[in-house]
Amino acid sequence: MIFPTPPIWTNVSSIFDGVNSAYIYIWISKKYRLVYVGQTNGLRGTLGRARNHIGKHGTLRLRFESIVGEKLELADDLILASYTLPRQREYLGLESSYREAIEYLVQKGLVVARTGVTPTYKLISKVRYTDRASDVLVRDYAREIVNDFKANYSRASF
Amino acid sequence: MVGVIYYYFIKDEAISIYIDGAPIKPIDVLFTEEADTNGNLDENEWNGREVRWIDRPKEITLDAELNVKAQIEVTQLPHPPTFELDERGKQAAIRKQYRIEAGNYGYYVYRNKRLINVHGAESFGIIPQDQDLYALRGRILIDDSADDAFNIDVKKSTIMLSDDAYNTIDLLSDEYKRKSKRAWERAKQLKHEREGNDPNLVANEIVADFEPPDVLPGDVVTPVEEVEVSKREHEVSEEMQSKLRTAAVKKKSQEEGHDVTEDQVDQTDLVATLKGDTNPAATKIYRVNAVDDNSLWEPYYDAETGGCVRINKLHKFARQVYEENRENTDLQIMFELFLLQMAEAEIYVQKNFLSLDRTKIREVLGEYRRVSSDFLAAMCRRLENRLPPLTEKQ
Repeated sequence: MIFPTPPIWTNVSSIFDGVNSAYIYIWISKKYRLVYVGQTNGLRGTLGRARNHIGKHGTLRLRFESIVGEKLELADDLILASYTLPRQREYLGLESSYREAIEYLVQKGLVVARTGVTPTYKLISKVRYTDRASDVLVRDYAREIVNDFKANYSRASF
Repeated sequence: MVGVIYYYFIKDEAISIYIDGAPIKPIDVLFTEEADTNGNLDENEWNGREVRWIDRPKEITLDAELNVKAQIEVTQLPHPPTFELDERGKQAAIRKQYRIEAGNYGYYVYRNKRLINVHGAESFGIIPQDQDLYALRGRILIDDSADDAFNIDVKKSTIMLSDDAYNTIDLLSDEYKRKSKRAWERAKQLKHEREGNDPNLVANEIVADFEPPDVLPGDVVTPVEEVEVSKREHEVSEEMQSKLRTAAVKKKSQEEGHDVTEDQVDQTDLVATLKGDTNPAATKIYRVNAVDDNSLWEPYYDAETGGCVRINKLHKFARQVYEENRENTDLQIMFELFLLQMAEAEIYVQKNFLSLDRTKIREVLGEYRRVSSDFLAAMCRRLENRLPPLTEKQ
């Protein structure tokens, strides 16, 4: 074996497409039992957002390092799950209340879901509730994301 | 207070406690039996009179590392000032009946079925001091496996949450606080309406008999052009009514949980969709929960109602006006009058600018409205701390 670490094949798909898509994304590290939820309507999708997160002042990095006490680089099992949001202006525009509502409901759903998964995890992202979270379609969409997470989390591995 | 501390023992274990020979009754500070009868809280429609569930009992993991589980449940108690309209002095009676006062709102933490803090509710630094939260009641049930996560000192009746437990309760509380506060504000608003102090009603009353000019000076319309103007007016009205019917079908389908057809939608459904939860007496200016494209406002027109405006009260800019400047009713009235004229102007331009295709005008104006709304939202987000009310921030 000549590689310092084993080769890494990463499924990127088109998560860099933020032109016509907005996303909810979930970062997962089972090794450190941490989950981070975010949202973006940035031009470069969740891949572009990831670039911010791993930067020196990125929120993911700051939260991870303050909670774990180690550099983010040691999280060598990170998984990024990206969920495209409905292609409607409510979700794509600058006014972010719809995206933030789904983000909140997903975070809340994952807090409740951790009672029934292995390994359990800590949520290290911080999100605020918005009134749009009462919207039926918003709740439905968030529920689908949480259900997908629950269905795939235990068997997902890096 | 003894009835609160030992609520579960007296109720479930059938233990009797007497003080000076008098039996102590179990006191459920959440009044869950009433909540079970009345159902879940809809903070946009609550009438301020009933106990309702904000979050029904559910099990959560408070601390993943320590594997600490708890049951959490939250209710909204009545809005006492609402009852003052029924009968003088009734507000005080309701406050007493439901123990609604400073220090009693927040979380009641029961360890092994006994209230830890004998003085009442915990805020955990999460529930702020705010009169609009007086009706919020939460309960957290834990057993002694939570002693480490909660840093419980039973003798001193003190609780300090672990980081994970704090973050979990903080996350859930965000929704609870918001819903409770909105419900309380809704009850206040209903009370103001009954007292004749509602700014939206005032704005509607101001313009009740006002119609903008049919033709502005300089916009000369020949008799031939008048025919085209009339035709466009009819088209605008038909389009908007069709859009309203589609929205009413979607709303009713969501409410009933199954697909509904247009012929199952009646006039009441159409009016409810058009006006949202605005006072039914409003005739031109409606505060609604959502409009197309999440814009700040959108026009509505039909031959019967004339020009109206639907204001997206959950848009960031609208919230800045209605919530952050809640006491400034003059601002709210002027804001609504301004948007009504903006809406009327869109209809006017569609009808009267005959040199341009009407649907193109509609599209351009719609885009202009969307972009303006997004710019206003962006401004609110970036300049949040510099926007009025300025006197509080100085």
